[in-house]
Amino acid sequence: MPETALPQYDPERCTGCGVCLAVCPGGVLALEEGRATFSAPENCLYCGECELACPAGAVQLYYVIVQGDRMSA
Amino acid sequence: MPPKHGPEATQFRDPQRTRLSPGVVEALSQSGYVRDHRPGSILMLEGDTVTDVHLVLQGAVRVFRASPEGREQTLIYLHPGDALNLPGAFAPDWRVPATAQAVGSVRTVVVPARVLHGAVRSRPVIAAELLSLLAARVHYLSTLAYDLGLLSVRARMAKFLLTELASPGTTPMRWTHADIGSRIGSVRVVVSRTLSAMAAEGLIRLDRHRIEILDAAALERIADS
Repeated sequence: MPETALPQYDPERCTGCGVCLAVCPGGVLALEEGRATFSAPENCLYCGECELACPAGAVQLYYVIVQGDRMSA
Repeated sequence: MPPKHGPEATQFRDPQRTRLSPGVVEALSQSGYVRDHRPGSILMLEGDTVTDVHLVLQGAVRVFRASPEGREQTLIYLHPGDALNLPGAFAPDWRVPATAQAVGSVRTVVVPARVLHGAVRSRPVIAAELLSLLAARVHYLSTLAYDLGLLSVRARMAKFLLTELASPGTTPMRWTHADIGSRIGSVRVVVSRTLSAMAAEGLIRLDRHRIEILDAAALERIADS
C-alpha cells in the first residue's frame, strides 16, 4: 500500500476556527469537539492550502529530501 | 576528489560528521545528569549566563537567533554526539549567543563547566575531541556567514538540498517550508517559489512530501555560483 503522508497537525494550537475545512479541496478535514481532525485522510492532495489558511500555525506540511531516480554523477 | 557539498563531503566541512565519540560522551556523562526535554521546550535562551554544556543523547536540538520582529535564523541542528554551549564552559563572562530548542523529544546529559575543565586537563583524548568539535563548528559557522551574506537564495537552496540529502538507509529529517526558510535565511513563500522553479527546471521532483533530487551535478553548479 503506498504511503499517504499527511500534514503535521498540532491540536494544541488549533482554535477550531474551521478555515482549513473551508479551503481544503478534498474535504479531508472536519471539526470534532472544537478541533480540526483529518477525517478523510485518503483524500489529502498535499496541496498546502490548509497550511496557508491556518491562522494559528496548527498545520504544516513537511518534506523529506531524498535521492531521486535520475541522479547525475 | 571529494564532493564539496552533500553528505559525502569531508568531515571537516560537514558538522554532522564531527561529533564526540561514544567513549568520550560516556566519560563526561559520569559526572553529569540526564535531562529529558519535551518537544518545543527551550534548553537555553539567547542571553543566558549559563556555562553548563548539554551533550545530546537522543533527538535533535535547533539553535537559532531571532530578530525583534520575530524572524528566525537557524544556525545549526545538533544531533546525538553534539555538544550545546561548549564555548560557554571555557569563555569568561559568557552569554549564550543563540536560543536552543528541542525538536521532538530530546534527551541530554548536562555537564558542568568544572567537569569539562578537569577532563581537558587530565585526559588529552577528551581535550582533542572537544577541540575538533569546536574547530568544525567554527568552520561551519564561517561558511554559514558566507552563504547568508554572499550567496543568492537559489544557491543557498541548492546547497541546502545537497547537504541535507538523506544518506541511504537513514531516516530523513522532516522539514517544513518555514524550517527551510529559517535554515537558509529566507521566508516560507520564497522557499516555496524557489523549490517550484527548481522542479520546473527538472533539478528536483516534488512528490507530495518528498523532495527528490534529480540532478545533483546541476545543483552543485548552482551552489557554487
